[in-house]
Amino acid sequence: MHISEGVLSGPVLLSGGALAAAGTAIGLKKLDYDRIAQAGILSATFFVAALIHVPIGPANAHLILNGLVGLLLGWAAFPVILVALVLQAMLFQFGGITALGVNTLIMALPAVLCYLVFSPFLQKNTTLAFSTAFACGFLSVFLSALGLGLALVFTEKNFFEISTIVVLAHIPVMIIEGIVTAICVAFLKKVQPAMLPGFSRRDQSRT
Amino acid sequence: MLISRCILIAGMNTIRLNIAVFLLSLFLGLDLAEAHRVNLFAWVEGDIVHVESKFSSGKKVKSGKISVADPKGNELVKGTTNDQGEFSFKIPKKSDLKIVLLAGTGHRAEWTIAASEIKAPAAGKKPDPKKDNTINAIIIGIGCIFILTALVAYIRKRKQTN
Repeated sequence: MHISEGVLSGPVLLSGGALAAAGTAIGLKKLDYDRIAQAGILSATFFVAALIHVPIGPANAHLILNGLVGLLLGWAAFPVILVALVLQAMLFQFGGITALGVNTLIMALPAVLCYLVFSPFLQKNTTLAFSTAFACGFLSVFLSALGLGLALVFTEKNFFEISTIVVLAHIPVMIIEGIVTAICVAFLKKVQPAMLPGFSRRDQSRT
Repeated sequence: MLISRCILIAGMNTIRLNIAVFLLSLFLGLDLAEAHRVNLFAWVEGDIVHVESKFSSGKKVKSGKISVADPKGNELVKGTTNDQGEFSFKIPKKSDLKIVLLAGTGHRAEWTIAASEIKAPAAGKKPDPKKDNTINAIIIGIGCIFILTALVAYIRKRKQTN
């Protein structure tokens, strides 16, 4: 899911970079002091997750975990994913340095969208929260795949073909990420519900 | 000159120095990164150039698009890799040869064969793939994230107390 150096054209790189910068600025502004440690841990998780290859299916797919990052951090997913991608590009040569903006956008924007749509359901009953988390993990990878297709359309000119390939390749990853996200949310709900978005004291006194 | 100035300014504050060193190491790391995460190797054997490619997971790049160009950017040879991720071609010109592989969905890698390698083909042999030091990279990466997190927390705290 990382775009390499020299694949995209200048305007795509620039607009991707600008949007990613805007997202990062919003994310940093919205990141509370209390959540900084959590953001760091999730950044490390995202950084390492890309090394886990999913050996099922036709293509070269690895875990992404952007759904989990988005669900737990909201807009702060932008700076968190940017940092992890910078380090992945430097240390593992995953993706190009100039494509950082586009790559960040591809992975962080679906995460934020899923957060906006799904986070209200997380404090509901366990079944609903569980399925919501699964959908979040699943859909954020799906949307990232579409984003990748969209970014490549300007150079490879066949949106449906590319998107189909990328989406098909990531179906096993989508399912696994859905499960991982759901398990994490179920675990946090039991152990540390304050980490989930939408938590209020009222909920705590009720349980 | 610029770097020495940077270090001089940074020297006023240890944290700033740390940042400068960190950025400098990142910059050097950028220079050292010769292969992208689709790996491409090419070596000369007689008057044939062999190209081998695979993804970081070890999977071969099947029917990836190969394009060979001279230093001026004129395309000399075009082709696709076979099921083993390999492609061979006769040396078209005794100059540096830049081999570019497009492996689809945004993956790209390149490898340059120097003119000197072509002129002394006897020594040509398959290059050893670089040793995998993933564990070190993971530790470095997590360390960087940890330091960055601490730094952000520190800056925020100072802002709050001011």
